Amino acid sequence: MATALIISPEFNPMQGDQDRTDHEMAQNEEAPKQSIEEIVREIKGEVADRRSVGDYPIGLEQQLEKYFSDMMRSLHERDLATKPMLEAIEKLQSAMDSFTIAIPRSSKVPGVALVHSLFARLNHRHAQNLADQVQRIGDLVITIQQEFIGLANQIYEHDARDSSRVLSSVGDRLAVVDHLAHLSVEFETRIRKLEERA
Amino acid sequence: MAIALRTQLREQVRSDIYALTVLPELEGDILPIHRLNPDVPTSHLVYHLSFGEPQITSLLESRRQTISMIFHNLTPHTYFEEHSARFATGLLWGEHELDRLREKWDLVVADSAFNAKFLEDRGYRDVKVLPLGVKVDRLAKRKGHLQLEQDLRNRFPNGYLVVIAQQLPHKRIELAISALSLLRHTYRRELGLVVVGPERIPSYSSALKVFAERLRVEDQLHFTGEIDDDSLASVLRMSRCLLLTSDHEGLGIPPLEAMSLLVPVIARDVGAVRETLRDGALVLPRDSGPCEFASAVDYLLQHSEVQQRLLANGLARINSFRDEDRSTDVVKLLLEATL
Repeated sequence: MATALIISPEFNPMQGDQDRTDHEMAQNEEAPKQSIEEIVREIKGEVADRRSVGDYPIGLEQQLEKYFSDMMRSLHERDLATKPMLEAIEKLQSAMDSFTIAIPRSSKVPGVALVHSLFARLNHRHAQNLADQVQRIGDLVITIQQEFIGLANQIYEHDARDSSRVLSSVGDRLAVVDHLAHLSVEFETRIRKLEERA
Repeated sequence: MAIALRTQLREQVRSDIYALTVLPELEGDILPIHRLNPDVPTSHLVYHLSFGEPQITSLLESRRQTISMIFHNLTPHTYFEEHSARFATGLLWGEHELDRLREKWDLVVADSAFNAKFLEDRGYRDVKVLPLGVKVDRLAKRKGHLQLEQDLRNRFPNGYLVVIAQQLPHKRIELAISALSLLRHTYRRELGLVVVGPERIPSYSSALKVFAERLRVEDQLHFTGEIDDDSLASVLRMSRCLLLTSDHEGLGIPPLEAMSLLVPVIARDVGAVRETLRDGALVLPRDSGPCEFASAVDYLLQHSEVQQRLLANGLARINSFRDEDRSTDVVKLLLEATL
């Protein structure tokens, strides 16, 4: 199949404004050519004229530059503040993806392997519940951290007054999550002790 | 450019490229620095300098073989101090390395008179000036990317301006965004702006996007990131004009490539810009800002005869670069320095 070659004259860089007439073009060709330096001076003159009639407020460029510079600094500080959290989220995500609880079933002592196997079957549901619970906690921690990052963005972009109210609410939730995480670690420790005694 | 030089050197001698950091896609072609060939007097090390690494400085200091340095410019570290301490430190170390190893080089080459003067101001003498790495027909030979061209046509029915630069603070891409806003609100020109180049500093790239939103031109702005040569040829070919807004330029290859594709160029008079582009571009004073850029774009779009003159001058400049292709001269100099 042949490829269609699309030629679009309106994107010809040689073409100026559509409203230039052929007559004007011919006149321009006859007029003495300005040097590039003269053209640049004409452009600067046009800018000065626009400033004088108020098209460009005094200090416009400096204001734009300062605004951009301040914004860039603010965003840089936000990135520095949120980078550790983003890295923590990535690590947590990775840990959650590979999280499993495996109860060893082998033993060199005759009969003990059978006991291990029975115990594993009995405890599998508990272990799976624990894995599910920690998985849910991990998901919740990730969600909370993402909320913090979104909040940091809001603070840097808008007024901090509204954000502080939301911040304290998120902080409360994080305290609950922290407590749940502590409980799950304690639970896991108890399970491990039970397994060691078996 | 190192690869092009290696290709030419391999016509006469064995040549390899070694680097401290090798991109995955270049593994096998570019060798890690720890595999650098033995330090024998008959061998020749060619060092391309544009950044500093203490490990490399130590390595160079320890070598006894012939060493040539090709200087590609060091961006002033002050542009990066607030945004990337590591990058700023590397650039500062590069300046330190230039002073520390001044007597070490057997041959010094700069790719522009501007870069040569930078070295001479630091006490270097007998710097050879050769415009290396300028392959003026590189994009002209590309067939382009038809789907991309259609997408750009649909998105920017009145055409667009283009900036080709890494998204770094000293490239001042925000000036182009400000000019875009002025063109819309003062000159009533609904043009787009396509920015081609990779993101290097997240806060700078984020700031550009937020800035465009604040100036209400986010719909007219498109960031391509890093693209291949076919796509770059398409983006350039279709553009109304290329803007060079940098505060600092060591050579200025994108404007030359624009000129080779018959795209008018408006640039600030910084670094090697005037030396490189001459009358092939509308070179605005160094302190020009968005008002001057907006006015210059409007002027060019109104005066097609000026555009045509610029394009003709640009083609002549490109031809002179073709004639000045000095890569074989560099090979000759390098081989002579080895003897």
